[in-house]
Amino acid sequence: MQITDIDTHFGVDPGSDLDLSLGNLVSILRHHGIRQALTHALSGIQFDHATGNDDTWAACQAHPELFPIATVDPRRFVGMEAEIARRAEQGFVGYRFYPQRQGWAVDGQLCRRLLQAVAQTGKPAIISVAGAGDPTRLLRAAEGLELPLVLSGTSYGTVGEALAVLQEAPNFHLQMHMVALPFQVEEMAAVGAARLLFGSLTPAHYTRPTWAMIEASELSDADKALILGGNARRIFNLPDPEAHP
Amino acid sequence: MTEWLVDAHQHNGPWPFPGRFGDVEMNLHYLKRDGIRAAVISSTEGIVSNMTRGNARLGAAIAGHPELYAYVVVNPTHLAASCAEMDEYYDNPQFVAAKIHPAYAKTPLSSPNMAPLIAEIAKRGRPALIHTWGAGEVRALANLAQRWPQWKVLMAHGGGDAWREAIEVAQQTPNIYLEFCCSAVERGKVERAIAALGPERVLFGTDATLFDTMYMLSLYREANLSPAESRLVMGENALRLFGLRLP
Repeated sequence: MQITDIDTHFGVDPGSDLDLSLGNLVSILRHHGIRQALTHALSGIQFDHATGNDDTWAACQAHPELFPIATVDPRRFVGMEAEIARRAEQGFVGYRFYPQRQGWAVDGQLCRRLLQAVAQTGKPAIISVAGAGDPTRLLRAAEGLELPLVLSGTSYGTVGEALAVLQEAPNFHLQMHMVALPFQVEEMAAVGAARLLFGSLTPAHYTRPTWAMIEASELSDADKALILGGNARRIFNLPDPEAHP
Repeated sequence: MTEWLVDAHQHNGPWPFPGRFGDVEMNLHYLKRDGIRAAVISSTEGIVSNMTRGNARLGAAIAGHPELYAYVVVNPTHLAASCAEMDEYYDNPQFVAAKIHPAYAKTPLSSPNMAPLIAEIAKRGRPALIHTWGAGEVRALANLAQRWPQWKVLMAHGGGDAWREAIEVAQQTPNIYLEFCCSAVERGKVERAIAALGPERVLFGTDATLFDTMYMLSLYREANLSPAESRLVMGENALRLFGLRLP
C-alpha cells in the first residue's frame, strides 16, 4: 500500500528540543517506507511566511518524495493574497494554516479573505481547527466557497463536531491524526472514506499510532488505501509514487 | 517484543466521544487480540461520577477473570469514603492499587486536601496511579512522592504535555514511575525516559478502553526498545510494582 502523509514539517521550533531537521524527517519517512509526504518549513509558521515558503520549496527540490505546502500568516495582511497566488504559480500543491498557533480567528475577516484567495487558485488547504466550535466557525467562514478544505488538529473531544460539519459540507475533509478511540476509524469513515486523509505530524510526533489504527480497522483494503494515500494523491494532484521513484 | 505484555493503565466503561465502548468484554478482547497477559483497570464511572458504584461494578465485572486487576478509585473530596473503599477492596486480591484523577475530583495535587488521601494510601502500603497533566501537577506530585518516599506512584500520561518535566522530577524522585498513554504522541518521550531513568521505572499503559490498545502499542513499538528494555517496560515492571501474578 502506497502511503502519502499529508502533514509533515521540518526546521526549528524554539519550544522543542526534538530533532525536527529536514534530514531527520527524510530519514524517518524512509524508515517507514513512506514514499510521498506533503511538507512545510516551520520558519513559515513562526517567523516569516515568504522565507518559510522559500525554505519549503528548496527542501522539496532536493527531495522529490516531498511535496511543498505553502503557508501564510494572515496577521501580516499586506501582500497575503499575492503570496497565495505566487506560490500556486510556483508549483506548491496546497496550503497549510495555523489560526490557533498564530492567534487569528477562524471566523474573522482575515480567514475569509485567506480562503477566498485560496479558492482562486483551485488548490486545497489544510487548516487547524483544534478548539471546540472551530469546525463550525470554519464552516461559516467557507460558506459559498468551493475549495477543498482539510480539517486538522481535532482530538477525541472535538472530532465529533468535525464529523457533523463534514456531513454539512461536501468539500470538507478530515485529517486522521490522534485517532485513538476504539472503532474511531470506522465511525469517522461513516462520512465516506474518500474524505479522510492520513497525516502524522512527523517528525515531531511518532509516525505509526494512527497509521496502525487505520491498518487494524475493519474497513476494506480499498478504503484503507484511500485514507492512507489515495485521497491525498487525488485532492492534492500528486503523481502515482510508482511512477515517481 | 516481550511475551510479558502487561497494561498498567486501563479503564472500563463508556466515554462521551465518537468511538464504540463496552464493558469488561472489551478489556478482554484487547488482551486477547494484542497478547496482553494482564491489565490493571479503573472504573470510568468511579472516576467521572460515582466512586462507590463504579468500584463495585468493576469488582463484579472482573470476578472470574484472573488476568484483570483493578485500581480502587479514590477521591480527595470524599476522604472517609475513600478510606472505606480501600479497606473494602484491598481484601480482594484483584484490587492492587489506588487511582486518583485530580481533575474530575476538582482537587489539584497541590491542594491541601490531597495530602491526607496520599497519607492514607501510603499507610496501606499500596501504590497509586495518578492522572498528571501539566508542569504544575508534575511538580506537585513530586512533592507528594518526596514526602512519602516509601510509597510508589505511577504518574499517568507521563505528565501529558509536561513529559520533559515529568522525566526531570522522576530523576530526583526514585519512587516515581512513568507511563505515557496519551492521544498526543510527541516523539521521543519513551526513549528519553528510559535513557534518563533506566528501563526499571517506565511502564506500558494504553488508556484502554478509552483508547484502542493498538494506539499506544504502536507508539511503544516505534520507540524501538532493546529486548532487555522491552521485557521490563512492557511487562515485568508492572508485575513488580503491583505484585501481579500472571494466570
